[in-house]
Amino acid sequence: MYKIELKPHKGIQRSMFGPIEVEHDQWMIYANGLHVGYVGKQEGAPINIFAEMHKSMLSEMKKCIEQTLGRSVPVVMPPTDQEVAEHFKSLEKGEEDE
Amino acid sequence: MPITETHADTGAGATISFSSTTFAAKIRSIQLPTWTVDDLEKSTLDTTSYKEFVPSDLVDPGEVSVTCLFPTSLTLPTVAATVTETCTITFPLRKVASTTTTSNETTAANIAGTGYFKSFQFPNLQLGNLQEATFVFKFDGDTGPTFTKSA
Repeated sequence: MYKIELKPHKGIQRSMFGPIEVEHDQWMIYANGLHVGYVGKQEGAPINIFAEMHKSMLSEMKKCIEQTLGRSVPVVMPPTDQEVAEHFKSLEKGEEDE
Repeated sequence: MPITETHADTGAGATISFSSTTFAAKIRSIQLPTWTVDDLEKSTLDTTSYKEFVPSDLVDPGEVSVTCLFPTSLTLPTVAATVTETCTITFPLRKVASTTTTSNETTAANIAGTGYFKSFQFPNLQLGNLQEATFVFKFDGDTGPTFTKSA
């Protein structure tokens, strides 16, 4: 069981009148208190995860975020080296089958 | 007051993400923006030493230049000034060592702001060379860019 939280992504922007607080167009994702990624607020905006994550955690996080936002959310994560290797392995297998 | 925190770190683990573009290439390097303000020369006829300057009013928010492995299987970002979104560069999480406590940070530092993809340079295709693409994201100064410290 993981504790998933969405917090507004705020920052300080400089201006001629001094620093002003702004809120970015995305939520910060926290899993068990650790900042693990972002999800955009716009419709169709994806979840961006910083690093590889266990599938069960990723699945639970996606489910929780979709419930909170009330929409389907794709996940953006660079392919792992293992996934790249499996991809090429499956291509080789396909060629052998032919 | 002695400095007890660990300040030295590399770029390993840094990430870049976009609020609506689903682009997840393997990143090789991220060149962060340079925030600059123009110089206005105010020298007059009675100035007798160095040129004199005052800073202009507005700061150029700069741009981010990213080099990545060319992702032939991915949809490329749309280069267009009409498509704006938030770009966030997140620094690696840093371990904090202090004389009174040892704890890990839970929120990494980041630079974030709205802007657009200004350019996408396809790789050079040649023997013995990695296919590397370079793209530039220009901050438009609408929201941010902001730098938020780690915590």
